[in-house]
Amino acid sequence: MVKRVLVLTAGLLFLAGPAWADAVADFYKGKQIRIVVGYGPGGTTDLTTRLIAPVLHKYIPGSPRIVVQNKSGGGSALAANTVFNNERRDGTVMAAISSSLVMKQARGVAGIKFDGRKFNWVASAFRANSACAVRTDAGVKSFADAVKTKKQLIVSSFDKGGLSHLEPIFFNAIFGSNFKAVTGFPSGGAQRLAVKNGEVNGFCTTFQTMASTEIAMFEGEGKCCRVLIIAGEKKENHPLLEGVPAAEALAKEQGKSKEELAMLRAMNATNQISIVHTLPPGVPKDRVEALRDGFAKAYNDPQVQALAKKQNRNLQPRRGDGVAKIVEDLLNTPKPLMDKIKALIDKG
Amino acid sequence: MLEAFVTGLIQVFDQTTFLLMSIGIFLGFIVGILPGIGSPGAVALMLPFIFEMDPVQAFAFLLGMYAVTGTTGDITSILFGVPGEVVSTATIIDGHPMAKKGEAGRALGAALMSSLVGAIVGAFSLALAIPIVTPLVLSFKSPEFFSLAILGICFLAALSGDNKLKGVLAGGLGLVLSTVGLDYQENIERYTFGLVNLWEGVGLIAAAVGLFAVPEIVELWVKGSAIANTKVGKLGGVWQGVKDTFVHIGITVRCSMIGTFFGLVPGVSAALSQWVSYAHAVQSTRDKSGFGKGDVRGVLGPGAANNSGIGAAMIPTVAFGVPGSATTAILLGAFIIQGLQPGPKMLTEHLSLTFSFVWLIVISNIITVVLCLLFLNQLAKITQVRGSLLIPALFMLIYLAGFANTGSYFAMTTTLVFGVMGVVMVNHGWPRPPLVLGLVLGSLVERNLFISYEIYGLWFLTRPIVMVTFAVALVVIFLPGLQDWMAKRAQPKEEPGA
Repeated sequence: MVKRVLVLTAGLLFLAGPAWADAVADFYKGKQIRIVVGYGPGGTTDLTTRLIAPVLHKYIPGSPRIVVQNKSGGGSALAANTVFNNERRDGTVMAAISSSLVMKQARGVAGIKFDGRKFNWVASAFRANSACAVRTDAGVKSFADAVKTKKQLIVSSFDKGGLSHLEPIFFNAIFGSNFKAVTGFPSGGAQRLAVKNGEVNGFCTTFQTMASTEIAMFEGEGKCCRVLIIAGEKKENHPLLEGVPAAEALAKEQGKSKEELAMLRAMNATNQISIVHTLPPGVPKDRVEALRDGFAKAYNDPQVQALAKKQNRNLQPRRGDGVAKIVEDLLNTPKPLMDKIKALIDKG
Repeated sequence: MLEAFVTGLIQVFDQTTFLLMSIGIFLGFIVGILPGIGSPGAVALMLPFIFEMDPVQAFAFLLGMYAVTGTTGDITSILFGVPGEVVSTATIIDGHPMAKKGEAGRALGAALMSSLVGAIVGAFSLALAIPIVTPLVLSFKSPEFFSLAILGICFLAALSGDNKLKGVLAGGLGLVLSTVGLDYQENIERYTFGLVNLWEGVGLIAAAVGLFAVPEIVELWVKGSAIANTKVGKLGGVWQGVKDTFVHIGITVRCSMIGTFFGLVPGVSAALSQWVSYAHAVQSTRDKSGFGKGDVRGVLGPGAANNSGIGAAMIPTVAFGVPGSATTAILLGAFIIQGLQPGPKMLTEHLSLTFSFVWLIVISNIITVVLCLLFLNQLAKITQVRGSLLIPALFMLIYLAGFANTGSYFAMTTTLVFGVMGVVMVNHGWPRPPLVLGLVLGSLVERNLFISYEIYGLWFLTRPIVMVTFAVALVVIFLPGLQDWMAKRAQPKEEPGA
């Protein structure tokens, strides 16, 4: 009897697989998936989405047409809010947004009208680590030197609470460095120009940006800067990182508290899921899984890989379930710790 | 240097490159004539097509389109008072009144020919400026940007027409409205009323379209006639406008150079150069009475600055990765797609490639102007069409403009609100240009004032370029008054002998 039940169950499961795929294919056949990009055209989020959009249909059952729509506003909060609250929940509309919005939700920033725990995360494109760099004429040779001499290092930042602001103030609080983050720079280009023309001593952004689009600042004729510190526990093997400490490893070495380690992780968490695509809540599970599979395959498509290489961008995609785990962890940051983080940001 | 200048030109005439540029021009003309979509929208729409092209071909395609949309923006500004882009707003002030006077053809001819002169002057100024571009760009820091923005504000008076007080107040209102949104330092919501749509401030295109176009449509509706009130025959024709460009070649060349300078300085809005050029055209003219009512010099200045700035704005984009406008920001994306690394090498090793970009803009302008001149007289006849037939199409265009800018319906509300504001301002004799200028400059002033103070304290006021710019600003403020005073003093002496 038991054997018969097992055989029947196995048979049903065998049939259920194709049936699941068929149901998804039947649904998407002749339909379109609209990806609402939370930024204007030409930015990294837009370019990444447009990089995979032409091949995505090949990897989604039913081959739906893919349409990219730009809806900029509030650092992609507008797109996230709209897709979460006002769009169809059948798997035909999704958002491409900044993962830093999750940090904003965790901090209770006004205007965030979604719950990151309820989004159906599909994929993220990059895994980055934040880092700080200073000009070679800033008067410090290393991070240890900067801490020891307490020399004030002015760094150009975008806005309070953003990555380029969080890094220096967290490093100050945990290691005792003396960065002064000046906010208000309108773009990455402006942030770096202020370093190049010597208006500020340095800048903080992802190491991946430093090693790709801004590599001229670190090597060759135009070299003007050196990396001081990078977030994370392990650093990648890169010539620019020789002798540069990894923040979490350094914190452990110096016997910093668990709370301080948790702060460093929270700071770097959203970098690990850079450029995320998500579906609103309530989308049938089989469609969410189909899209997760589709995105994973699209990121590995030879055409996409070749173009990414040509653009000097190192795609490191993460499946939606992995993204959801990081989001969950960040949103579950204990309240006292989050209060401390908020106080640090407010203090600036 | 000269070799790179010539090699850049030769690269443009490669068969495939030239063909792609022509396709870009054609598409740019079609897309660009729709207000609001303008060059950022047109270029963004075409980004996916450049993935497989080589750099010169890709940029031939995109820059051909970019150069054309700058010009077509002026066409809708003149014919309907609907700015194609923010940078075309200044053209409305005198361009549209000219259309109303039946001189649409002349205004279009002047706008096109001055654009062409602007593009050529811009290209040659750039070639001469390349050795000093890097030190020039690097010498502009936050205090210098702040002082330039203040200089821009000082031009408010020139844009205010007869009633200076109303002009200054309208400019002040523009500055206040520019504070709507998240503030740049603390991310505090200001005047957003809980609306995320307002986090990034008031949409400039949606506001400008509402402010200028809606009152025109209302007027057209009330009048019940065509845009052009009168027919002026040959004098209102395209060739007259072309001739005007050379009659007033001084203004055209000077405004081209203003456009080139503002294009070179990264982070300063391209819209500012058009306004400053317009103000320069007004200030450098003895008889100012015709401005705002359809003076061709008010079309020549902004027209020249618009296109000379396009080429120049490529320099900070390619050399420093700092785009000066929405379109160059998208072109920066195109750079990344092409695997090109913006950096100082673009001004040394890859100088010919950089020059090929500038040449592409010049050649595209020449082609556009020649083609347009052939049928501009026909285009100008739209102004003779009965208003009731135009109004539905114009309404569709302005709402498209509002929507296309951000892809959100909220922008259409912005257009409507500013439209109502525009109607009220027109009816009560309030000048609208200062409000737009205030809106453009507000963020530049605030952002750079904060950064300057944070880094330098009050010492930023003592920096040499800042002091020189402030001195120019003082001249801008007091010169017109001084001229009036001297003219009045001179008058009584002449009268007895008369």
